[in-house]
Amino acid sequence: MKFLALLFLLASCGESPLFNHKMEPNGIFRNTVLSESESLTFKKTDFSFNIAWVEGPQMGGSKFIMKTWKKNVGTMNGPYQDLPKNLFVFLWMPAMGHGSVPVKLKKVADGEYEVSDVQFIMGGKWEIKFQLKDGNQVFDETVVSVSI
Amino acid sequence: MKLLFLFLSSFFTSSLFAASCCVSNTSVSNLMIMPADWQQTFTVSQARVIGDVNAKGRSTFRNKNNRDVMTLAKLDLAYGWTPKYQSGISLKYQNRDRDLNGTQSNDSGWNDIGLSQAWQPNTLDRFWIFNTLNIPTATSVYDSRTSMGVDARGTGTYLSSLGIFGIHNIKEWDFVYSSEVHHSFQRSFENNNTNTRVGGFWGSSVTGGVGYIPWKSKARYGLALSPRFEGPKTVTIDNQKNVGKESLVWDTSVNFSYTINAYYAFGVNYTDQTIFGPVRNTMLNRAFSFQFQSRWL
Repeated sequence: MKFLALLFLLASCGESPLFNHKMEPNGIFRNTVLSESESLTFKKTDFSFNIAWVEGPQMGGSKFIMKTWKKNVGTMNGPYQDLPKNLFVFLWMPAMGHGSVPVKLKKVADGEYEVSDVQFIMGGKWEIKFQLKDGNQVFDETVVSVSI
Repeated sequence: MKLLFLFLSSFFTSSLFAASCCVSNTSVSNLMIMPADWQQTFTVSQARVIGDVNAKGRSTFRNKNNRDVMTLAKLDLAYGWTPKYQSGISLKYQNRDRDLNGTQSNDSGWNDIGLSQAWQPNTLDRFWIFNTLNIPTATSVYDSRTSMGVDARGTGTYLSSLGIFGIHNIKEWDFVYSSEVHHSFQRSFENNNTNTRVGGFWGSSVTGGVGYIPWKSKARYGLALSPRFEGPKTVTIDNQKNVGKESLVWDTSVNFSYTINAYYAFGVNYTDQTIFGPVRNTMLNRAFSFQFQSRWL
């Protein structure tokens, strides 16, 4: 009994996760990250884009649609245009220093891309990195933060 | 009695079977602390991820629809070249089963290969200096390709440790201490048309444990506490540098072991990472393991 009391005391003093945690909500939940009416910009090109989540974002599989347009020609409502460089999307967990499995990127129409298999493999702060690549060189990049 | 005592204590050196992410474990998993030619330890374990901790130390425990279970079979072999010098190899086969709100993913395969060597400066003192090397033969979080990353089994990098391990006994009690420093070496990955370079980083751990053997008993009851720290990783992806945060986790272990005779022993172990803190930037596991050990004199 004394031992249990000592263990409890020691655990309480050291920020024990057992006594200081919150529970993950039950069921599939959606994390609000940015408004779907918010546009994002590639700094070095004159292209903007937005993303609309179809599934998630949530731990496990998520999916979104990305629409791209030329700033001085289109708006969020179109017309959409293809990006001038190769698009590359990947997940990154900055605190942990690792990413996730590669996402699936599929062009569904001019300037419209379906990004699926977006797998946030654990809870925490993630980044979705949108890169425009010239071969292996990153030409431009925009990062979106997501809390899972 | 003293020999029996030491044989039972050897289970203390077994490593925790935590997730491949976050904080690596670089203890010697099969140190021979009694004179012997060979020693083998066969371990089966199951670990479940209980929660995630962010860089600020806030813990979130997972709900019952978020299941992440690792089952592991491990074979450790150690050979004593001289009474003072020994070396060992560790082979692990792992299954990871992930279930998240009905979406399931499962993968099995070999984990990294572990090599170790230990030197006992004086055979009368129960004190060893050890060195381990992790050879990254398994898929890691840097080159994982399966759904929910269930194929990420290994550390991904060559990792070497230098440490000490010792035992001191007073009557029916034994006190075990260990400390190590490890370094992970830089390694590059080509994955999905992307070059990922994981920079070198440092980590460390200390272990303190106590065991009790009732008089004339073949059983030992033990407790151990082991804080483990890993420094921030710098990962460069296509020439873009990303600096991570440090990780900290505390392993609390309760174990029971029983010596059948001079050649065979078995043990059960429960390790919980949720009891002590502070914890930072890691997953929290609870693990059960069963070990069977045999020796050849």
